[in-house]
Amino acid sequence: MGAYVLQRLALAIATVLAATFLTYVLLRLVPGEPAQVILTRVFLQDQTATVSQQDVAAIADRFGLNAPLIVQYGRWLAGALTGDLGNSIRTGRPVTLELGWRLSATGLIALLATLASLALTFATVTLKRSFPTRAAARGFELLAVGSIALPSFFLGVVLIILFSLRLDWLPVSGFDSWAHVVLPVAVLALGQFGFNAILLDDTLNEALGAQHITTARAKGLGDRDILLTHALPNALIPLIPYLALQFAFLIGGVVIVERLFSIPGLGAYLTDALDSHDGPAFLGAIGVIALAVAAANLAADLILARVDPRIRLKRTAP
Amino acid sequence: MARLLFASLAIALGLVSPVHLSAQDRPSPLRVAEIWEIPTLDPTQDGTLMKEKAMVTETLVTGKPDFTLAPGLATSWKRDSDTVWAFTLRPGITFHDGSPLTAQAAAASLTNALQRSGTARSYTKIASLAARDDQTLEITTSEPFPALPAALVYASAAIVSPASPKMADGTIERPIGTGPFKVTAWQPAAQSFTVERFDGYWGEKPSIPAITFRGIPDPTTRSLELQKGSVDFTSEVPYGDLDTLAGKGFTVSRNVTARNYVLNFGSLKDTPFADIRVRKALSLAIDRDEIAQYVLFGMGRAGIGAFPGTMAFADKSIAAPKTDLAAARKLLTEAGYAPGPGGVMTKDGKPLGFTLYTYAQRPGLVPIAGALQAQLRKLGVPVEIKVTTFSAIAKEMKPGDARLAALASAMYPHPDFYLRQTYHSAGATNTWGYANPKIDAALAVAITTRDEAERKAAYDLVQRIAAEEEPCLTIAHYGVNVAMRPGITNYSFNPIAHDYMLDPQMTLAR
Repeated sequence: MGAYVLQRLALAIATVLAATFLTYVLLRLVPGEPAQVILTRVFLQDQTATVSQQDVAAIADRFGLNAPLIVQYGRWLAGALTGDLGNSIRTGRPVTLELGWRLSATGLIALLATLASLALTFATVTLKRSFPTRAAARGFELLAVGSIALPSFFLGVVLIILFSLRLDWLPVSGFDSWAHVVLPVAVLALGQFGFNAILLDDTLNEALGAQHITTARAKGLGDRDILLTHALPNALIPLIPYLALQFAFLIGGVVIVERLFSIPGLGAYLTDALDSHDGPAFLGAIGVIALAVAAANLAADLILARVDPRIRLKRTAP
Repeated sequence: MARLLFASLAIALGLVSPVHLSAQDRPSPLRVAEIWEIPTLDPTQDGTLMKEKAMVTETLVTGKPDFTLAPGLATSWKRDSDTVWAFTLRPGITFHDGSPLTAQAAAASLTNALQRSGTARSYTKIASLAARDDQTLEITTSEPFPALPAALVYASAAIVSPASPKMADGTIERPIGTGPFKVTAWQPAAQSFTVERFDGYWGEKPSIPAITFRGIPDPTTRSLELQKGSVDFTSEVPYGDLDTLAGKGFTVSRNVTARNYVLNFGSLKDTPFADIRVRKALSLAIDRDEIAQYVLFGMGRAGIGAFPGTMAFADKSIAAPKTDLAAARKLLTEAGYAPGPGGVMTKDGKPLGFTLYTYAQRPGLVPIAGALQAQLRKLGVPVEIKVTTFSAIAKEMKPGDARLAALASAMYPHPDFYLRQTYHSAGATNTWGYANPKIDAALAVAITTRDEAERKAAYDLVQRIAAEEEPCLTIAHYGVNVAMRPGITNYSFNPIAHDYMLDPQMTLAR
């Protein structure tokens, strides 16, 4: 188990390093000299402006662009390891500080949305299985497919009109109180539970068809015990890595929902940084997202290894 | 990274909760939904927010709704030589921190703005600043530049107290201005800030005690917030919502601002668009009125000239021609085109058609592109639309393609800015290579003469040649909407605004 954990941890670190290094290189692939690009795009906001070599040199100096690329990345990494990601070009504030604000918003929403989608998943699958009729199966399918198919901006606007405007229960947008969190979490959870529910329903069917279930039934166990102790743990195994991926996706990719509900989150930060060519902010955001993806995968791997001995034994075999 | 790891752990454990704002229960502030995110209050980075919207900062010169100039913090100015100007400051003005506005303070503020804002530097062409005495600011430009007073209207050239709190890299954290409102609260994490009435203001004092701003970048969300009643004032709501909002009793206004919807070709060299008859034919096939009325929901005004007639320096003799398909076909025939397979206009076996690139950031662009496609199809000119980002267009577009963009036509209230960059043979926007010696000569006269009438004649000539030759096709002048809850009175829209402007004289009844 120890070797397996180390191996997974090394992989996670390598993922983060590779993602940030590639981003660093890609940011430099913008046509033209980086210092000139920063000067004309960020400071002059006019790509066709004529600039003096003196100004370009001053920018290159200020952002340390004269060293070889690998050295520049090394400096960034060394800073990042001590919690210093540089200052945002747009706002002058430390990127670490801004990322902290953004991550606290996005992280909270992502966590709650994952929990809510999990609750919805269990609720719908339980309901479907409690009423083994054709109509219930149809209803379950309709809900799940609807969840996958409905675009979040549409669902979001419908929920706002219903709960904020008509019923006047919740605020439209912003991030000031717990009431502000309800709708965005609902939109994300409703958009995610469908796939989970179909997955869980499938894996439960598979798990219940296994031979050890027949054995359990033969020795006289009740349906409830069979489900909870013999079928469910096996059925959950494919769901765990999927949930981890979903959580990581929520950290990095909910721009549409963040925009609609005016949540100052990480996705909006990333796109704004890209739009305004704010390199340090963009790189910092990519680093945090890469870290979140790696951490979520690592967590999933470790949980899986804990519950499924086949994995830790197979993967550490030479 | 250890700290970051802790941050993500803290979130995973639910230790970090949303930012709680201390709700300020002051008497009825005006609640404004700003149309962009609010990353910074630094007036040298985003001057319009602090000057035009929050009314915290002011400039030496201001602009009237017809784009003529008016005294601002400077009561008068005179040009001592081709490059040296003297601005006399209004006496008795104090910054929000109580310190007096002196020529020394103004020079320090502008010096900082020029250092931090490349646009301020390139627009004003200021080479050096000096205080002749406490009330006289001397400005020297790097070249003869009669538009200097107009360029000083540019919001990033606003005057702030040198004592304004700054961050380590020089970014102004909280501007201390001279305007009718002062910044009293700023929550960068929540994209929100509050301004309160400044009792020491030199001009007429506003009746609104305070204004809160919150950045709400999504147009639909702004419209919903207004309908909910949690926002009093906003701008740029979806065009399709305007009639609904008006029907519900909200005050809705459609205004024309200094921005043009322009279709330009990749190149005017070795492409069909080098032939003026082809450009005129395309222009005649475009129904500008239909676009303004039905595609933009009245958000904009049909136009072919560089400036709408509401601007003082527009040549008002220029009128958009009526759509005339027959005349357009005739011009194309003269240019050697004939209907080929499928009715597509063809010359030497080559069909006349192009890819029209545009971007979605301005709400009118994609619908206009669709309308152009339909209208030009009637002429036998197939158009393929590609929606991407503004910066990607420059890389992808080929000489035979075209771009539809919304271009600012007066970053400051003077005709030189737009006419020079668009129509001069070396203009910054003129990437399509249009060159007309008459225009270059007229612009040279306009920028050097000291005779106002001669200058006006020169700029009018440029506008008329441009409207006649149409090196790029102006489709319409940009429209901006403002929506307010009932009970807000005395508001008038100033078209000089870059997005929208608030009005210090507005009143608010609950």
